Amino acid sequence: MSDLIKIFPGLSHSHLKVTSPEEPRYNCIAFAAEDDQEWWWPDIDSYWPPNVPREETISSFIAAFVTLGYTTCQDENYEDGFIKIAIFVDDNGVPTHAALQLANCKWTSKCGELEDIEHDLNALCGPNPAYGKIARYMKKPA
Amino acid sequence: MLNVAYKNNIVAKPTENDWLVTTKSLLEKNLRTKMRERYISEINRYQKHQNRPTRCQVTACTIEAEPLPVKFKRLLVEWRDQAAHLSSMPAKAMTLPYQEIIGIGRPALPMILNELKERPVHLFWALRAISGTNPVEPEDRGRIDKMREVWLEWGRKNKIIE
Repeated sequence: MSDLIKIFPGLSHSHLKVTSPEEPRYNCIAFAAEDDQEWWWPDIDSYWPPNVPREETISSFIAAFVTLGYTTCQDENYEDGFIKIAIFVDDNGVPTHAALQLANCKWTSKCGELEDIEHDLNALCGPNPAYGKIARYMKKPA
Repeated sequence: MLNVAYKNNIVAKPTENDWLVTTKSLLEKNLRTKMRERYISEINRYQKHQNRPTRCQVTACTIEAEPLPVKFKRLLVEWRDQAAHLSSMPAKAMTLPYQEIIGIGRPALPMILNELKERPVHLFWALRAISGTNPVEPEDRGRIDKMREVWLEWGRKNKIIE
């Protein structure tokens, strides 16, 4: 947990609950896609949905989640009957992370190879090494 | 050129200090006096800063005194510190410690494969870069245990590991 707080200073003064041990077999995108068996990323060593461009662009990430039934939406506000995700990007607009909303309005994330955590959405934002800013929200029926 | 740089925002690992103590002892035994004194003075300077958040990066000719397996382990620790929270493999691979692992070249292959034997670790990019091949089938991409298995089999087949 100390590693996480060092990387994401926003976690030091907000809600934080570690919900799993470290695990290198899946990452944040897989976790947001509710897959704990594969590492998702649009590169040559990772899983990426078929027919979605293997590009580190926001449009490629949106397209990946569209294959799971998500559509883009306006904000992070909880909507009964929907699951939401937030996609983070760095200063260059390159995706860095995705978080998944829980039924209690909190958000949950897998931090790379580190732990799964429950957190306030904006606590993972910030300059490098944090995940940058939120570029897009998406939702699908629960 | 001897170059010891300090970064003030990362907490040093005890293993790094252990390595420095070992290196210091090696240097004391093996190197010519003038050079040895310079190394030792730099290392002492680093060790004096151990009680504050500091990391020491030792490069250039100092690094030549570091045994390869020690260097590899040190780079893995540094890489974990910098990249464990990242999901992007390209971002993980572009960190300096990862690039240094690739820079070791073919002698790194048995060390990487033995590390993979021990635990699932994202060293596939380095294996591809060094070996110039990729034995993983497209449908297995992202399945870490399967990728491990395939690379270990490749290592055995090419007599890199037992």
